Amino acid sequence: MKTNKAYLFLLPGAILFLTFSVYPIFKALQMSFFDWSIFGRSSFVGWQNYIKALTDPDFHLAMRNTIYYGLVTVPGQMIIAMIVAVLLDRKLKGRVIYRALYFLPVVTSWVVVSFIFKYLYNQQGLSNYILNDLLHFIPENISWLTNPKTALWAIMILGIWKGIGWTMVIYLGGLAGIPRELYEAAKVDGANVWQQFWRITLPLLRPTITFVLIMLAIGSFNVFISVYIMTQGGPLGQTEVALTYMYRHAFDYLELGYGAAVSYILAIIIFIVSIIQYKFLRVPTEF
Amino acid sequence: MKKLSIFLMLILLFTTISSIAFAGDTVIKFWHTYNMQTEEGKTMNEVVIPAFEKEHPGVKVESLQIPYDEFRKKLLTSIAGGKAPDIVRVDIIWVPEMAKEGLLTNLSQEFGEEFDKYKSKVFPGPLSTNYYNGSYYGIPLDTNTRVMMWNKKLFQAAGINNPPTTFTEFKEVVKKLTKDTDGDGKIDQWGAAIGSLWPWHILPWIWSNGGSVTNSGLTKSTGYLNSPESVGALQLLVDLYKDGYMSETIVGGGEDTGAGYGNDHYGMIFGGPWFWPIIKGQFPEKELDFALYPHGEGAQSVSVVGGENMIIPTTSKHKDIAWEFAKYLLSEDVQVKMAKTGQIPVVSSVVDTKYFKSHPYFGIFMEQLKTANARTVHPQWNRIKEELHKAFEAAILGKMTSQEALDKASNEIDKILKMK
Repeated sequence: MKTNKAYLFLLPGAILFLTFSVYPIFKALQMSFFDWSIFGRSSFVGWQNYIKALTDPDFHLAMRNTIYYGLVTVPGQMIIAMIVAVLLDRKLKGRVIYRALYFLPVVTSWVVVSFIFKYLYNQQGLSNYILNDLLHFIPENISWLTNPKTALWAIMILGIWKGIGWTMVIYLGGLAGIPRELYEAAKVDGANVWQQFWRITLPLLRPTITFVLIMLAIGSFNVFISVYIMTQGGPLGQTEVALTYMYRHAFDYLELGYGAAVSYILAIIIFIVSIIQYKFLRVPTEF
Repeated sequence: MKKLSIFLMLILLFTTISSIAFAGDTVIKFWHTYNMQTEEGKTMNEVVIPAFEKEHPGVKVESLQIPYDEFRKKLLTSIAGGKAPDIVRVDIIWVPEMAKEGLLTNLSQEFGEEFDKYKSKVFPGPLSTNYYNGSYYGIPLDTNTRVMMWNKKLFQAAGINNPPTTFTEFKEVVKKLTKDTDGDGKIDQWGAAIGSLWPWHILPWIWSNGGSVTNSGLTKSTGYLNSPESVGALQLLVDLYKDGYMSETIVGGGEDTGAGYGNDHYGMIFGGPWFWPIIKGQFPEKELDFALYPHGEGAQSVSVVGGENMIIPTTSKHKDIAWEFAKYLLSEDVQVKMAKTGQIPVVSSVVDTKYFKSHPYFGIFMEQLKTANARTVHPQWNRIKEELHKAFEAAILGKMTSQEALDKASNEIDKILKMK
């Protein structure tokens, strides 16, 4: 009797999961082999959508930008978060407040912060006021989001800012698992702070770092909302990423089957990248 | 078991009562994007619809406003899901795409002669945006266009009394009005400010120079988009921007065109009738002066047609009543009522009414509408729009010459036009 009741409790969650997660995943796979119309007149096209995507220079540009975004934001988040985590690992006054402040961007809505940063980046906005009028770092106001050279950087800075807190929290968890005695023993042996970090902290954080790397890489491939709201992929396609490309084809051009194919190509790429990262970095931790 | 049977009885009772209560009225669902905070929305819901319901007892119109940004997606999903409204006020640019997907009632076929009668009452420019594959899939409801707004104060300060009418005059005036007014070495007053690089803002220049995006049959773009006239128009804007006579608004930066006009930073801006309430709202004392778009040599001033059409989804179960409502909205009386809220009418006879002749600014828009063009009336307009934007952006940012950019775009558009 007890196990039957257990299944009953699991049922609502299972139904939601199957309906809104599992079913769409398989449906999208089916759609990717069709010229799909939501109004019912779809036709089978086999691999055509996949071939069209892989040979489209616009898709190549989108992938290039997506990878570029990952190469900058992932190390950016990891390095800054590591510094912050190490600093906030000791008994500082107000430590809890600092940790909360760093984590706050993580829980904000991507939509809301994208709009806010769009105003910050405006040619007449706060960022230019600080950089130009106050600090004189730049000779004149820059329209960050409409200049082809700066647009992607502006979006990447938002991405890094938003993710530092999450990475920091994971590192703090990992740091808590390193026994204090190791540091004390090292101090006795004459090791300085830098050597302690390099020889004790980093190696023992390896599984944590691997985990963070894989998660952040997957997340970076999924960048979408900030680009969609701030630049729509422009200017001159310099901020077009895989998902804005897919979104436009699927919903603006009503090519839903093609969009599904693009999303599967992206999923396969993410899968391969994650496997490579895992195989490369998996080393048993030694004490 | 007893509890269950009582429960079922209650359900039966409820459904019987409710079907009796609603049995009399036919309800048609009307979706639109009217601004409910201003007169246009209020007049529709509080004056026009009740009047229609009074003339048609037993009919109720359920009016639903959906913000523009979500409208197209909501409409498409609702039709796909079988829950579509009966009559919709849509942006004119969505009609060909939806007609191609088989979502819209073919009004020419469905209402035959009566449709033809109403067809001849409306302006041809707006009407053309409903045409697809030999038939009309919608009928205009309201229209608008863009004209030039010239800052008389700045003009007179420079000794110019009239707005430019030709491209040559435009160039001269723009240069004369661009200056550094406070002596800090930076330009803070510009002769002209263009809103963005999307076709809505740029096509009037191309058309006013005698250029076009495609041929009239919508089969070819090369030879039209990259013609000397089209290239010349784009080059005019590129040169003026490059030499610093136009504000950064064209590439997305700078001070908003309306605010810049009000603050006397811009000599000329371009926009639709909604600019009046917007600028007056922020700058109640500022005088607004309108003029037609300047034109190139041997060409005439041609602006872009905007506005909304009425469509009836094929899934509607009340097509006849929906059509009655559409006809009602096209009556002279309703067109004038809505005109008072800022909606430019599409029925040509309205232009001769007293209200129109004495309106502070509708006159210039009606004048510009006489020659206004619709944007390419093709199901793949979204793609064409994207290609045009890419070309204009590449030329303005100096990545390609105007000729190269338009050559590339016209080739792409040739391919797009062939898509079904």
